[in-house]
Amino acid sequence: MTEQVLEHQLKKYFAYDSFRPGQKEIIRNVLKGENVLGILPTGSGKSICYQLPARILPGITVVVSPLISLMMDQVKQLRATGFKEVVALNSFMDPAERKRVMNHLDAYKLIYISPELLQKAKILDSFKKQIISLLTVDEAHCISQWGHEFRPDYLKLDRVKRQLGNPPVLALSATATPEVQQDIVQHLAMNGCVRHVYPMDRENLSFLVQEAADDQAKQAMISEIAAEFHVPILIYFSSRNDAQEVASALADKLPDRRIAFYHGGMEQLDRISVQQQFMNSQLDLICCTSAFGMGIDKSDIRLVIHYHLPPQLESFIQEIGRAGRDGRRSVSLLLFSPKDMMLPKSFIQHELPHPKSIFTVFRQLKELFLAGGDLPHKEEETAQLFQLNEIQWRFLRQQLEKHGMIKGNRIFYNEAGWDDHCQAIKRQRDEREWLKESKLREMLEWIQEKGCLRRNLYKNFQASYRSVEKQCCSNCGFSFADWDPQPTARQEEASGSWEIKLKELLLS
Amino acid sequence: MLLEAVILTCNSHIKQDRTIAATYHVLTGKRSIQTLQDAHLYALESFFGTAKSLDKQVFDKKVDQLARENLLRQTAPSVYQVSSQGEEWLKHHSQQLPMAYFNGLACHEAGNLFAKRLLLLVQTLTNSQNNHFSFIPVVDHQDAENWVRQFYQANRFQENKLLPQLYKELYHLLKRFSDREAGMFVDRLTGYKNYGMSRFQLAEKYSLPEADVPLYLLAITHQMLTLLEEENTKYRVLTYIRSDLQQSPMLTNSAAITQRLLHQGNTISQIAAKRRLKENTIYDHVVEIALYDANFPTEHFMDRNTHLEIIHAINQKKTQKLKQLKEAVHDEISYFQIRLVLARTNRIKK
Ligand SMILES: [Zn+2]
Repeated sequence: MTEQVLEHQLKKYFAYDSFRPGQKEIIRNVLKGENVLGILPTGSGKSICYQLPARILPGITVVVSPLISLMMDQVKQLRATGFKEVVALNSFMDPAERKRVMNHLDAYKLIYISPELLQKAKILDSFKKQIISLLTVDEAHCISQWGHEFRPDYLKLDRVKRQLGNPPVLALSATATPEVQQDIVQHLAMNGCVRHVYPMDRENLSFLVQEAADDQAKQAMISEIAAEFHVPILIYFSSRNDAQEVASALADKLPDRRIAFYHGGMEQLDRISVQQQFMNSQLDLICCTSAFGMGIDKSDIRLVIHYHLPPQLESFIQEIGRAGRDGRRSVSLLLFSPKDMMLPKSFIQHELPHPKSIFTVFRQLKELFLAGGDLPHKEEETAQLFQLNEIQWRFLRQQLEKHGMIKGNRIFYNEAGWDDHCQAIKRQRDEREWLKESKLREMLEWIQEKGCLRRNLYKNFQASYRSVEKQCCSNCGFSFADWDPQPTARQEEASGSWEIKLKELLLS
Repeated sequence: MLLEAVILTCNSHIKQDRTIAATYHVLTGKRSIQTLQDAHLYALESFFGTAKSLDKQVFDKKVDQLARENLLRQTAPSVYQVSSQGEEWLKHHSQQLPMAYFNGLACHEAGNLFAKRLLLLVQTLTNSQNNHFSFIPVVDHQDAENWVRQFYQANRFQENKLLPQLYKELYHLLKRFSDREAGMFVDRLTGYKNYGMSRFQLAEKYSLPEADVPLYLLAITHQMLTLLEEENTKYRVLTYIRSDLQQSPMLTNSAAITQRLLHQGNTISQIAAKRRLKENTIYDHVVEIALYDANFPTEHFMDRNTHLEIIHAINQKKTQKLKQLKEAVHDEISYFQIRLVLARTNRIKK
């Protein structure tokens, strides 16, 4: 396919005039049926790399993604542009609806599916009967134990690939260190893989790291900054409650700024309206959790603030990547207080079962087996039985399955291997903990860095970076005093009566 | 403040007959015989299901807070009574709250769907008016989407008349509300390149606690449906939106099947056998049917004397408590018969 034809298709299907860096190169290889690894920074339009081929290729494009809300958003956006042969399959779907889709798989060109669902024998069988032109693995770093978001379900994708008759694979990620990239290619057996790795450093971003005594000091700093710079601002929090509370506090302090919060626990209508208001420049500032931003394509976000310390550099890089996509000078500000240093550590404890509870679970499993019992059918009940939270239980379940100790909800006891399994799982747990702590240590080292923040942020991910003369980072002398972004145009205040507003809304 | 008022009102109707959980079940619209019966027994039909997504913990906290403020008084474990201070508070505040708008049991499903259809219709029409067809729908609901699509297809050719008509109707309808209420409703609407406000934003703008916002929006919707029913000829489009929505209280599915079998002349034990259910379950269904059916033949289940004896006990004991009533009548009279009479008297009172 010639370049002109590709560009024509892009215009026709997505109304873009030209490709962003990397897209065309990846698509060309994908259309030739090659295995492709694409490492593209956040905001570079990764999804076009499989959405455009999905419209062109003869069979079905399957996209494996762990992010359910992102899938739904993309399906909605694609449907809105007139691409109707697209659907998202996940475990939260109404069973009748899912069955209907499963019986008509060939009616779709692009199918998003969660990794755990694609492994179900019944579902895999239905896919085996179809022509799969492309298997896309999104967020491919989840396959690697070294990745910041390791997902055990991803490890089984190699088997899925074989069962689907080895279709070409497109593996995509925004943040993958060289060792993670190697894991991806090896694990998915991507023979003759073509690699497109694009640097993730952003010349138009300036970095600020600032210490604050406590939460009050943080809020005072934020409201001062937001009062001075009237630009689109995103503030990331690690908890829903804090996002909500700070949004309220800021709204009180800054009555002329339009402020809202966003997190995964809000009802659907509110989530869509807040997201779209921000896209639509009806909002100035959003306090959010990491649930916000994926699949959002707002080009003029000027300032991304981290109110809490992210647990690792990967998610930090992804989140600041949402600033300044239009290429204009934008700022990342990370705030930390002495007590924050402990916060991510407690998250790590929250995600992994305590060594002692591993022993307890082993004892309970044995007792249950000898009494002829099974595990409860519901995951949350099993977690409760073992007094673990669901994240901890998910980790342990995957380990127990790996050692053949449970299958579904049945227990398989074998006296000879029992203690060895227990030790092995405990080692796995310690390794995960060590990995997470070392990720956290990287983050902590970075905020205490005396040298250039830019150089040290990207050094683990790529060999070089583009240095910036002016407005580089707080360690190179940059401060808010040097920043002069163009303020948001004053919107007409829609403060009129409801009568006027109704008339404008419906009749203009 | 609206949430507090609703909780206090429910509790003041229930008095100390039930634990506070009964109030919670009525508010969240639990579809059980007990809750439906409570709703009727204590004339709380209008509050049934008005806070469907109310979290149990949030509710418990609210109750604790009301008790701390001496508006509720705890009289036994999990049993509360509205204090005289609480009654005062209710009298004082109810005036400016839209308490009378609620029509929970009758609008249970209809209110929710009506609001969703209307929101999506306004967004669809205003966008298509501007030749903008790739918008993200604010409402993610299959039925609402299907309905709007069908409506849009059927009326495409008079599209330019539809919006002015809808505007006129909404304007006149909203004029029947306070400016504050109308403002809240309009701020929630999404149009062309103009997305409606979230609960939090409405709470900020109207200085309300966030938990009150969904209650306000629901109250407004219920009142709209009431007005539309009274004056349906004035509102062509709006009436059409709700025309196929069932606005009568629904029986639980299972009770509806029992009702059909009863009409076919089956006895209770025949129905139980046919449906492989316990007789007690069928008795529950019969009580539920009696609550709704104005022509329910009570005489099929007891003779005249039994009926009179139960009524006499209710009047004399001035209570609706089953246990006390059972003790006050002859041993042969069953709990079922007492419940049936209670269901009937509560119907007749309305
Ligand atoms: Zn620097």
